[in-house]
Parts: sequence; structure tokens; C-alpha cells
Amino acid sequence: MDQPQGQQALNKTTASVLVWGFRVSAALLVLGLVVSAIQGEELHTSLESIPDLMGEIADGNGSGLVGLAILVMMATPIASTLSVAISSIRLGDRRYAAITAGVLGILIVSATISAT
Amino acid sequence: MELWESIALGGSAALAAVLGSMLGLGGGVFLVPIFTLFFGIDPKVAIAASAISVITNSVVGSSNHLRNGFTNIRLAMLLGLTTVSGAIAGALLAVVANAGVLSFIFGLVLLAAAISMLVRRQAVVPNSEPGDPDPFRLGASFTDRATGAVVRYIPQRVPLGLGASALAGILSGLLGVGGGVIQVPMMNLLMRVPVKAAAGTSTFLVGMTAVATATVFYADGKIDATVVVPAMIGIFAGSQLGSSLTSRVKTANLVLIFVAIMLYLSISMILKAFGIELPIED
Repeated sequence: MDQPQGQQALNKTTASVLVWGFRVSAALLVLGLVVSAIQGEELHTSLESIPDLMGEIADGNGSGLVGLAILVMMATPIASTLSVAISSIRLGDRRYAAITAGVLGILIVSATISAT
Repeated sequence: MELWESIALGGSAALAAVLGSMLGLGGGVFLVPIFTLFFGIDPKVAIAASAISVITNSVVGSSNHLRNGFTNIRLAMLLGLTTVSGAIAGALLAVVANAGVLSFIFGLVLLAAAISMLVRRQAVVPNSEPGDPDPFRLGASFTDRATGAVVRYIPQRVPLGLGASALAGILSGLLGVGGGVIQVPMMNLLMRVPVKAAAGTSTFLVGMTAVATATVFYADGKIDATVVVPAMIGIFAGSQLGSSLTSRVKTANLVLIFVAIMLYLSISMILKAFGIELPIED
């Protein structure tokens, strides 16, 4: 029952996805706060839809970047779940690949309903 | 929001995270009562901010737990099926629920958490043996660095665990807490998962649960960046500080003090549901 190599690789890949999600979110957050401070701009009291946020970022607004940072943080556990599903398939673990796909499906349906 | 208010929110979130990480509860269980009782923030906005803070805490904490081998990913995914579904149901209920009802339920959960902490001080749960049946193929092992021993375990009573996880998910979605306050003792006491593995698996699981909660609140327009950003930064800083303090301080000695704080917050939330505020609030 010691952690087999495949399991260790699964843990390592999942950890990497989480670390990179955090780094991207933190970088966007810092950049957004700096830009907002320079522009003297208030942060949103209600996070806008993704197309509106993209429009704000295109206009160079810092609050759009802050909103995107929050969304990237929210998306990171979804990305890690996707990574677990892919790794489980590669390891030939069909049962847990299906279970992970089920969790991912629930998360994606929830996120899609929210985004629309 | 004024700058001093943002700093105060961030400082409070950091304090919540220090307390939470020292107790292995995450910060959410303290964050919502502090934000609603002392800053007068709408409970639904506080719950949404708490959910995103829980995600931040989970993302940072899980990467460490995964490297240490404490996280049982198979167990997290299996429990995730019922927990995440429960969280979506809970968050949908929270969106339509009365703020007073949410305060009341939160007060009861805090009360249960305080009692659970007192029980956990006494509980010593034997782990399952390597030869035990493992029909769900959930057996795992990790090296406990404190003792140098390899700890092997097989989670037991899986169907009961799935049911308890659904309940944890509903409460998590309803109140914006990570659910670790229920998941860790449930995995440890009910499923016989060692505490370190239960904490590592719970940290990973609550991230997925909180995503389900946060997306529902996002759709309802309750994600307020002026509250979420100080909360995220405060929770991150506080959990780092809490982790380093945990290794230096005898946490068991602090449990009674923290239980007293939780009881105070619990009573405050229950009274708030009936329109009664304690003198030092707001």
C-alpha cells in the first residue's frame, strides 16, 4: 500500500497545477491593484460577467484585472480536478477517472450556469 | 470602502486564518461571523468572500499536503461527488434564504464545531489494518515526519462517509465555510482516516466544494471585490503565519481559549438571528 510511482506522479502534477493557478492569480491581483491605485479607480462591489471583465481589461482598467484574478483563483481547483482525471486515465485507473469526471462535470455545469 | 476599512478587513481575515490553521479548521468558520458581526457586511456577501478565501487557502495548503503525501486524491474525488453536489444545493438555498436564518444556522454550526473540538481532544481513533478489505481501493500511506514511521490506512464505512459528506457540502454551500470543520472529524472518527491524511484530503476537497459555492454567488452578484480582495490577502498571510506558529505552539493548550471564542461567536450569531446584538458588535 506504499504510494506507487504513478500515485506520486499524480500528486506532483496536481500540486503543480495548484501552484501555477495561485501564481497567475496572485500576479493578476497585484497588477490589477497597482493599476487601480494609479488610476484612482474603485474595485467592483459586484463582480461582472466574463465578457464585461475582458472589455475592462482591454480598456486598461485595473478592476478588470482584479476580477480576472478572482476568477482564475476560482478556476484553479477545477483545473486540478481536470488534471487528476487526465492522470487517472493515463494510469489506467478507469473507476477513479470516471468518478473524477463526474465531479468535474458537476463543477463545470455549476460554473457554466453561473457564467450564463 | 475606505482604505482603513480594507486594512481592518484584511487584518481580521488574517486573524481568522491564524486561528483556523492552528485548529485545523480553515479560516471560513471564523470569517463570516467576524465580517457580519463586527463590520456589518451583508451575510451573503460575507459567505461569498469566505468561499473564495477558502479556495485560496485550499489551493495553497493542498500543494504542500500533496507533496507530503497526506492527500488521498481517490478519497477526495469519491467524497467530492456528494460534497460538491451538496454545496451547490446549499448555495442555492443560501441565495434565497433569509439572513436571520443563515445567522441562526451558522451559530448552531459554530456550537457543534466547538463541541467537536472538545471531543477531538479526547479521541484516539485506531487506524485500520493493512489486511482489512478495501473494496473501494482507497487504501493509502504516508510517512509521518514527526515519528519517521510509514502510516498505512484503509478508509472504513465509505457509504456513511458519502452521506456525511453530502451534509458537509450542504452546510458549506449554505454558510460559505470550507466544510473542514465537519470533514476532518468525520473522516477521522467515522472513516478511521489518520488525522494528517484527513486534514490533507479535506484541504483538497474543500477547494472543490467552495468553487461550487462561489459560482452560485457569482451568478447572484454577491462577489464584492472590495471585501473579497482583503479577505483573500488576509487569509493567505494568516494561514502562512498560522502554519509556522502551529509547529511552535502547543495547540492543545489553546483549544479551550478558542472554544470560548467560538462559543461567543456562536451565541452572537444566534442572538443576531433574533435581532439582539451583544455590546461589542459593530
